[in-house]
Amino acid sequence: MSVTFRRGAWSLFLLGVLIAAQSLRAEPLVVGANIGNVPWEFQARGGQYVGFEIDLARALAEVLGRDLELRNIPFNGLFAAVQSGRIDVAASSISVTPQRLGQVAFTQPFYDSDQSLTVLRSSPVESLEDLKGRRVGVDTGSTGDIWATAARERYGIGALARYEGLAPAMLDLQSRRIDAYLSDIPSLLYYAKDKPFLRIAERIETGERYAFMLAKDSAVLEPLDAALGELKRNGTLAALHEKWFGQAPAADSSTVTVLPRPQAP
Amino acid sequence: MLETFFNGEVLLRAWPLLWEGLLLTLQLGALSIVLGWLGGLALALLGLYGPAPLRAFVRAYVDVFRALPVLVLLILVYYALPFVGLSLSAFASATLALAAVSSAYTSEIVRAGIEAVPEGQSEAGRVLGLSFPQILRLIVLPQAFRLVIPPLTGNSINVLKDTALASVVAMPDLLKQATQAQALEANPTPLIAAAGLYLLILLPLVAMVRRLERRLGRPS
Repeated sequence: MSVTFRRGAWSLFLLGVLIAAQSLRAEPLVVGANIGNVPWEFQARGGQYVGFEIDLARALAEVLGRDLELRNIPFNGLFAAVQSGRIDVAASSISVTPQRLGQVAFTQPFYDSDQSLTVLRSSPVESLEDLKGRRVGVDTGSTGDIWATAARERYGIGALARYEGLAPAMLDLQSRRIDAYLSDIPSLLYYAKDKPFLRIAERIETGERYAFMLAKDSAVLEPLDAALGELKRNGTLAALHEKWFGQAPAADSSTVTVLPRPQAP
Repeated sequence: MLETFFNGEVLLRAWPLLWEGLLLTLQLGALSIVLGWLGGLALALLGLYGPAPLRAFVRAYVDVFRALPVLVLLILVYYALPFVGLSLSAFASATLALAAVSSAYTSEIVRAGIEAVPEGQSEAGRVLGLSFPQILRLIVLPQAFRLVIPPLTGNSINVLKDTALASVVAMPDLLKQATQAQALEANPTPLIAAAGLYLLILLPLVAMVRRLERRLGRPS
C-alpha cells in the first residue's frame, strides 16, 4: 500500500467521523408552533419567525446545547404532532388543563393569562351580558372554545364559529359574520394595539397558565423543564416579558416563579 | 398506542360532535351534488345547442372552473366577496363553490354522453316528425343518461370528498368537528373515527360505480 493511498484512506475515515459527529450534535430540538399567534410566534415582515415563545425556545435550545428547528402547525394539530413524535415540543400559548394533562405532558407554566371578548369599536356589545343571540368566534379546541361552549347557555350565545387562529376570525369579525371573538387576552391586547377599529369589551378571568407541551413519555421533558427554571432564575424570562409586553412581569407571576411541573390529576 | 389512537372513552365523548358534523357533511354534499347535476345539464345543453355567444360562455366557464382549485374558489367566495358587499354564510359559500366546480365537470360528462348517441337516432326522430325538445327528451337524453351514470357517480363521490374543504371557512362539517374534538381531548382518536365515517359513506358508492361500469360497459 502506498503512503499516499494510506494517507488518503485515513483522511476519508476522519472526514466520515467528523460528519457523523456533526450529525449527532446537530440533532435539533423540533418545536411546533401556530405561527400567526401574536405576540407569541408570528412572521415578521421579512418572513422570519419571531415572538415571545420563539425567543424562549431559542434560549432553551441554547441551554440544552441543541439546534432549534421550528415548524408551523395549526393549533389544533399540535396535540397529535407531539403524540406522534412529529415534533418534540409544542409552543403556542397553550394553557395547562386537567383534560390535556390526561393525554400529554407540560413543563412548568411561564405565563398567567385570561380570556377576552373582542368586538368592533362600533359594536353595541359592551360585555358578556350582551351576547344574547349573537355569533361568537373562537379558536378550534382552545381554552376559549372550551369556556364558550360551557357558557353558551348561560349567556344565550346564538352560535359559535370555530377558526384556525386569529387572522381568519378577524376577517369574519370585520365582514360581520361574527359579532365577537373570544380568545386569550395577551394576543388580543397585542393585536389590537395598532388597530383602532377593534375594542376589547371584557376581560374574562379564567386563571389560565401557559406552558410548553410535550409527549407524556418525552425524554426532553425533564431537561426542558429544568432549563425553563434556570431561565426564570437568571432573569431571561423577565427580560423577554419586558421586550414583548413593554413592562416587567408581576413579582408573583409564573413568569418569574420557579414552579413544579403540573401533574396529571 | 391503542390508548392513543383508538381510545374508546374519547370516541364516546366525541361522538355527538362527529354525528353533527356527519349530518352537515351529508347535507352539504347532497345539495352541492344535486345543484351540480342541474347546472351541468343546463350548461351541456347550452354548450351544444345554444346560440354562439352562449356556447362560447359555456366553454369559458367549463375551462375556468375545471382549472381553478376548489379550495381557492371557496376562499375567494368566502373571504373576498364580502369586500364587494356579498357576505355569504359558510354553508352557502361552500355549496356555491362545490356546485360551481361540479357543474363544470358534469357538463363535460353530459356533453360526451349526448355526443355518444349516434346521429342516426335523432335523424330517425326527425323523420317521425318529432320536435327538437321531443327528440331530446324521448330519444337522446335517456340513452345519454345510461352512458353517463358511472362517470357522474364518480364525480359525485369527488364532490362529497371535497366537502371536507369547507372546514377551512369555520363550517362545522365532519372534518372540522373531528379536529375540534381532537384538540379538546388532546387525542387523535376523533380524526381516526372521522376517516372511518368517510369510508363508511364512500366505499359503498365507489363499489357501486365499479358495478355500474361493469354492467353498463357490456354491450347490451
